[in-house]
Amino acid sequence: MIEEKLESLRKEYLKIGPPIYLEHHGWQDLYTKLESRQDLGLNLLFGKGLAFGSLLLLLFGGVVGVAQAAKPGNALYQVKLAADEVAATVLQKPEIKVKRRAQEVINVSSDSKEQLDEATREYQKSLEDSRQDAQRSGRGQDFANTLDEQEKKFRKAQEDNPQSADKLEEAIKQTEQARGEVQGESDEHKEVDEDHPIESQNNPNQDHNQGKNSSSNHDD
Amino acid sequence: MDDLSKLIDRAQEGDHDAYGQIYTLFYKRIFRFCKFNTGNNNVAQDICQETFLKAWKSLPNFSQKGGSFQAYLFKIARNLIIDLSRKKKEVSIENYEQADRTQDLDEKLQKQEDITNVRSAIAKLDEVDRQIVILRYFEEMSSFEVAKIVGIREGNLRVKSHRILKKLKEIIQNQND
Repeated sequence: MIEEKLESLRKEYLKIGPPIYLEHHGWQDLYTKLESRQDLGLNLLFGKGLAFGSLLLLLFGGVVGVAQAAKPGNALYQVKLAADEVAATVLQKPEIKVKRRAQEVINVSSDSKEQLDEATREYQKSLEDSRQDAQRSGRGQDFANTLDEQEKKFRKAQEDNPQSADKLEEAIKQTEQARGEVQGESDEHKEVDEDHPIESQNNPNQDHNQGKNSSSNHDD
Repeated sequence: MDDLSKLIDRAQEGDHDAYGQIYTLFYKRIFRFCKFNTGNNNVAQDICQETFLKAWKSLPNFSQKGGSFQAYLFKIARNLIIDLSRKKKEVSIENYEQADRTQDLDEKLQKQEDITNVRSAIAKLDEVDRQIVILRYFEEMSSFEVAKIVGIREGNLRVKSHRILKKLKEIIQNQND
């Protein structure tokens, strides 16, 4: 009967065994292939990610580059402010913002009144932000020196652009005020040290805290 | 060892160890199926490995509700065998069968004339009929699974199975005559 013959062949079929290599290394070989496929996938993914990242960097870099030429009130001016914020934070030099905003005031002092108004507002904001950052990072003196330089530049710009003298005078007053605040705080610290020389020597931490409290009260 | 369905779940999540256990469960059967169809150890080994590689790649699409995992594997193996026979028409499955006569298995088979005749008769069947015989009678799979693998309806498979047996008888009769 055919069924019996098929059954006999089935017994032979079931005797077919894998070669020794497949038995001992089959899974190992396959595992390597699975891993390499995964790696390939990751590489492709990483490659795409890298390309995308580079593209973003190029685009962002290009925008920031173009934004450096933006004047107050221009579309890309906020990008320029953001880039300066990053530079000031990364370099730990809060005065960078003041220098750049001050230069903008001087640059536009010969241009339209609207741009000069905008530049002066941004300069005032940068003074406040940078003063606080400088005090927090202990760079009050550097900040005061920067303000000295800026005041001189503003005075020179006043002579060059008499039509903008009033606005530049406003910038000078803002500069003097900010410098006064920074120096006043430094004087206050000195007074504390002079009033309590012993405590100051014995407990430097307390002195430091007083200075901090004074600073925060002042900021408020 | 874990339950197969849990292993499949884990493998579908990318767990290589789980897939390794699945491989251990099935590789001998897949190799045997490939070897019987191709008659060549090296070719069978390559197809076997490729089957598991393809199965892994398509694993996220595999649904345990849609059919058994062994049917899934055998279907992949069968497709690879068909692809191979299409690419290398000059080396047909029948030729593999002839070439295999010199190997151990057929040497034993030659000692048993009936078995040789059946084997020869199976080789003369068309591809679908041959797979039905192997899967249904040798691998003892259910009609549902075999129908899934060869891509026909289960009802048709039952009818077809009877016809195949009849055809085999005729071929063997003719060979003996």
